[in-house]
Amino acid sequence: VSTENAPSDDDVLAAYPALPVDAQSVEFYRGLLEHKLLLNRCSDCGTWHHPPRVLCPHCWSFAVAPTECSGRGDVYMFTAVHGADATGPTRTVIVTANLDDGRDNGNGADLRFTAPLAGDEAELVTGARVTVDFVQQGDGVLPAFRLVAEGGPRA
Amino acid sequence: VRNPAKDQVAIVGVGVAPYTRQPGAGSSGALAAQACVAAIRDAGLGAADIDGVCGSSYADVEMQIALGLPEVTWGASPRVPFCYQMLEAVNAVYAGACTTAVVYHSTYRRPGMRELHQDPLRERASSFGASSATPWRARLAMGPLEPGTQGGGVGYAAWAQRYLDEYGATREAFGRIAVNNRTNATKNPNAVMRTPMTFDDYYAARMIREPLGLLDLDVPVDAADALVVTTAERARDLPNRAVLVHAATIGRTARCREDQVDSLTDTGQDVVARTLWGKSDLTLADVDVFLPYDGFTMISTMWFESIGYCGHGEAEGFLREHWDDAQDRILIDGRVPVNPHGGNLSEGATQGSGAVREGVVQLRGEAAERQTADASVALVTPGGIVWNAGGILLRTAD
Repeated sequence: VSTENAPSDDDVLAAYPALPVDAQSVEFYRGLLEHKLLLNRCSDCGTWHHPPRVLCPHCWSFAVAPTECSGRGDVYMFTAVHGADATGPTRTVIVTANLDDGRDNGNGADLRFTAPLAGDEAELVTGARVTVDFVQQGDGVLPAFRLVAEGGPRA
Repeated sequence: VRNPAKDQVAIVGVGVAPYTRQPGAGSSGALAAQACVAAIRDAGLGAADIDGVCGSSYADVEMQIALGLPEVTWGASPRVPFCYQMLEAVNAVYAGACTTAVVYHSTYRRPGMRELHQDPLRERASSFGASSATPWRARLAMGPLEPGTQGGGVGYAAWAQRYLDEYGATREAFGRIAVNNRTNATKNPNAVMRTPMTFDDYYAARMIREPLGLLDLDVPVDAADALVVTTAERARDLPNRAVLVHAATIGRTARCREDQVDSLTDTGQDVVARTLWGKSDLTLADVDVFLPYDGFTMISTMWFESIGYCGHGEAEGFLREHWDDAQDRILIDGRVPVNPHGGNLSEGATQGSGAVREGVVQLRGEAAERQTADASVALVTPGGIVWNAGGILLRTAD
């Protein structure tokens, strides 16, 4: 999926100094730097899984490939984490969504992905449609969900 | 379900390092050792009698050295919650890997907490092991955090939202747990939170992780618990009333990461319920004391459903129906108390060791002001709904 000019391992490590980048997850982070959501998909049976593992949990094939996915899905659940930083109290909405790409997973499992919510939360309810966006943070790029106004299968 | 170890292993000693929120409690190892010494002495035993060591937060080898145990034939340092330690030790004693094991857990707060920030020894203990030569490993040492997932309490808060939404429940389903545990803690001298709490207090507490507020979350403490386990046969020659492990298990489903669990009705708790009751000669009607895990209130709420007191999604009504207004706490069928020691929410957060210890104390009839009359069966369900659910049925020997 990545291009010839894809960031090197060292680039990825430098961009995410505070995150546990490892051999299982490096392609995910490399994808983020290129504004792509790369999740693991089995090359043999087509099942998606997340978080990334070295083999397909459905058919045990080790031919799993980080694969670009649409990032669209339905809100399954959410919370808002209250905290504080130098500017005062903070409130961060975290959304877990079932992504459309995993609807036909052979093992019936949801392709479930979690990220902070960016933008307006007025319409945030279970089942609301979201899409993954990419937010620059320091030298790195992190995923964030945005609510989108469209129909779709419900969580 | 196979259960050859049924009633074959006994808990014969208990010990505590008093729970505290004050600084100056020493170290993780010091707390654990204090509890171990108390438990071994409580059992009427000495160093030469202990040939098994099992605990977390302070490795089993370090504990053996600290206690000067002359000959150890089995040891393990499993993860928390405390169902793992108990299951390992029961199996080891039953299988003959050792005869008498000390089993322990301590908690030692991280230095980031307000009242502890100027404790240099704590800072060093917390940072140990966080660096390494290779960049991959240095980042791995950050912990289990994975990209695009939720960890720990954030995941539970989202499940709490899902619970309220899917079942049309209200926060009363969680608040009953918080108030019950605080009421019970007022009768436990070891509890760190003993000021009575009202439902108004519960609803007024500030939000921490919506929909969970301050009083939905357990209380960090410096503390330790220890137990001594041996064969039921050996227990008959020891001074205390023996408490038998009737059945014990952990339960996990395939996608047992915080945000990846399939649904509210298919979690590790459901695996525990099927397995524990399958192993047991007892039923819920035999249980005299119920000790569900309460790291967050919603975990206890879900245990009521998964272990069989009511159906999935029915806990709010069940808890209201079994609420004793005069005592301001849950009494199931008017007789079964729930976390009579106050649990992680009010005694202090020890990931299940406090609940197992309280189960033993209740069955020994030594719970003083909070003693449940004629208690002969205790049901302890340490752990949450993800990789960490467990269940233990304890019964008296006679």
